[in-house]
Amino acid sequence: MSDVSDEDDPDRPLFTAVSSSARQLHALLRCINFGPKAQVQISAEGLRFSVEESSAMEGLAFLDKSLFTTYQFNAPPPPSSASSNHSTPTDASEDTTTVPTFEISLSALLSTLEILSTTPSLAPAGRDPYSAIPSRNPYLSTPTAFSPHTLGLPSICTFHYPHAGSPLLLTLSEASLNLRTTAELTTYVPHSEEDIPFARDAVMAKIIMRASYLLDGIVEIASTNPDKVTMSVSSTHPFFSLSSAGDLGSAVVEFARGKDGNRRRDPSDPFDQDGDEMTGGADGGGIARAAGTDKPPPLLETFQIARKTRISQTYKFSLIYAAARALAVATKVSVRMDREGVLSLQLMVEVDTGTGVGAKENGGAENVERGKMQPKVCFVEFRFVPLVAGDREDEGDDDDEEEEGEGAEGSETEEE
Amino acid sequence: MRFKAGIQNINTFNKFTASLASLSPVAWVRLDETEVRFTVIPEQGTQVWSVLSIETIFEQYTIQSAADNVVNLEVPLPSLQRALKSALNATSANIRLTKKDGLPILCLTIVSTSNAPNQFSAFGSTASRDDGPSYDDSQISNVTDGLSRHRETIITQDIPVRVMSMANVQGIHEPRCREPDVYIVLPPLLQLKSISDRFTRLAMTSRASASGGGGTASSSSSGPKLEMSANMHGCLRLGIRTDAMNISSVWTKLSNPDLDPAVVEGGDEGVLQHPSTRMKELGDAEGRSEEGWATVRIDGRDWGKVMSVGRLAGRVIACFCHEHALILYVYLSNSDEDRDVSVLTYYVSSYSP
Repeated sequence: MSDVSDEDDPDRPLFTAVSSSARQLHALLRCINFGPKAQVQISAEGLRFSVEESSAMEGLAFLDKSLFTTYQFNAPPPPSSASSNHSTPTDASEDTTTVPTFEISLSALLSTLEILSTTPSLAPAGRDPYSAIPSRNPYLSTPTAFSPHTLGLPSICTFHYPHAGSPLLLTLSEASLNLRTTAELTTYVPHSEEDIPFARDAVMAKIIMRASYLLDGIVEIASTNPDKVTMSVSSTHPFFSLSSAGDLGSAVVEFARGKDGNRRRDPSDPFDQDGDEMTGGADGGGIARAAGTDKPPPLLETFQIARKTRISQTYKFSLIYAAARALAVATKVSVRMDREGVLSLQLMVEVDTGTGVGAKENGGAENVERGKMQPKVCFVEFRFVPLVAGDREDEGDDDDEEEEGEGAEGSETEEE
Repeated sequence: MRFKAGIQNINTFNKFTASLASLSPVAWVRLDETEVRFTVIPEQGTQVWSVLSIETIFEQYTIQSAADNVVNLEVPLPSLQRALKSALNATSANIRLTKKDGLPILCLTIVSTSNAPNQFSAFGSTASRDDGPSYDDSQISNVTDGLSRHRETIITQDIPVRVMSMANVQGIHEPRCREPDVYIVLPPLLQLKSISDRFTRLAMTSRASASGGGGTASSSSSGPKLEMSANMHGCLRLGIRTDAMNISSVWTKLSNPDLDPAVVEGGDEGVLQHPSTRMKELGDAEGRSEEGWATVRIDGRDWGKVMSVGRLAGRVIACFCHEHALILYVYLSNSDEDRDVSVLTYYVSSYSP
């Protein structure tokens, strides 16, 4: 629109990226598919997608640039430069970096990616035409020997964002089928650029566990059809519990800490590497499995609590339940609560790299055999605002330090 | 009036019936000495005019009638399809036109053999009887051969039909259409269907979420409109436009069959004057140019039903009349050498933009 500085090619797009596996991107973005629109921030490190629900829940997925074979972000010149004598009506933010931010329809993006990420129905019709009937169940539709993925023919997915305000262009090409799909996703002005604040320096409790365990607990609670769910963490039994009361009664799911659950920080904490911003794409999915080679790891692999106390916060259940889909595909979850009661669920999601085309192999791959299918570890985060802030109770009721039933899925008690 | 035949390809016949049944519950079936025609004319949506050679589905075919050995029937497709479904594992099946209680019926006799071990043979017969509801008007009889363990099951399915008189059918005419602008061989229909269904769903979900604003409340019965275009350089484009996005898929390197001067009016001169010859001068093989496209707008849900014929998996030639209509010729055989005349013709009319 306005004049561009001299060294810049005026046709140079703001952002282009090429991915050889739309399936990975789809798997990650589907985790946060609970709202109609997603806010996208493009930076030099990757694409950050965030979805928000009534300012009380937020889902974040970070597509690290290592997920792309080519990633080119040409940061626009800061508006404070000399060329800004024209009034640049970008925004009022005084940030030094101008990160292009916009909203797009998430369902539209997912459907576009799906066109190629679920390829079996697109496999060229073989001799037996009836085997090519598309399956509705994505788990049944295993790639055949002739599907482009198996043959190593990459399906190329290109992201293209020419300039601020333009539509986001996605091009998917499947060379083996002579098929090219172009989607122009309308970009909208973002509602707000503020995330739900989570005080990383004031984390009151932190629990790392298998995502499926937490999912089991949430599904169990869901049977009472509650409005709210209370999450309690305490230094004594019960260490971590979910409780709810609905029309059909109430339910409590308690997660036992197990005998060797000690308070020392687990050296294999896979969530350690994420400093203060979510950085997905750290490879080395083997680290998590390295722990507990002999005996099964305790139910709560990491359990940290700030004080000898009990923290209890209540959240809207429907929001928590919206994260269940993501929990189902994640391997581990880090549950954290900060001083204000904001709940952060960080999920470790392993996405398969398909044939490995374009998967960058940097360090840390020693525990994974080379050449094999190597899952890539990505992170998805959810944040929830508590219903009643600062609702704190006294010490825990029972002092049953040695809790039986380690490895069991907690005990569930029904009242009324 | 007599009609009697053995069914040769039960599987093909079943799939064929199923794809017609998705468009309309009734078909006009015309049987004569050389071919079988199935015609489906729904009140709204796509018409199908199909011609099958007798050997495509029948064997030992006899037809007799006072009207030049032509029999016209109105057949309920769901009943026919259900009857054929029960014949899928049959060793043989016969169909004949007969009367029961004074009403004309198509009677399908299905013979299947089960050579299950003795202790399970009892199951075999009860299992087929347990399928009860769909065999309301059928009789099952078992013929047990005491020496071998083979059991023969005979199932009779009656399909009520209506015999149409010559006066009934005289008023039904195949649609006439101007010469098409573009001819193109479509990619495998199941591939096309998977993408077009996804587009349709996408538009329906985005419309459902946008309908709160009181937008287009006009069309609740009809589905979203897909835009389909093709050029004479082997490109086919399928697209849809919603508020949130504008998405299109382009297939390239498809083939545009040549016109046969023998069948075009005016011979070689006619081919030169043909609209498709002019369209050949426009557009490019990559589909980048905006020129040279013949476009039609079709109902997404109706199109999904049309595409269900993909399970028959033949060669499909699409003829595009720009902004007017789309005609699909679905051949049941894939090879050019096979002189099978069986073809299904679909007439899809275009919606105005």
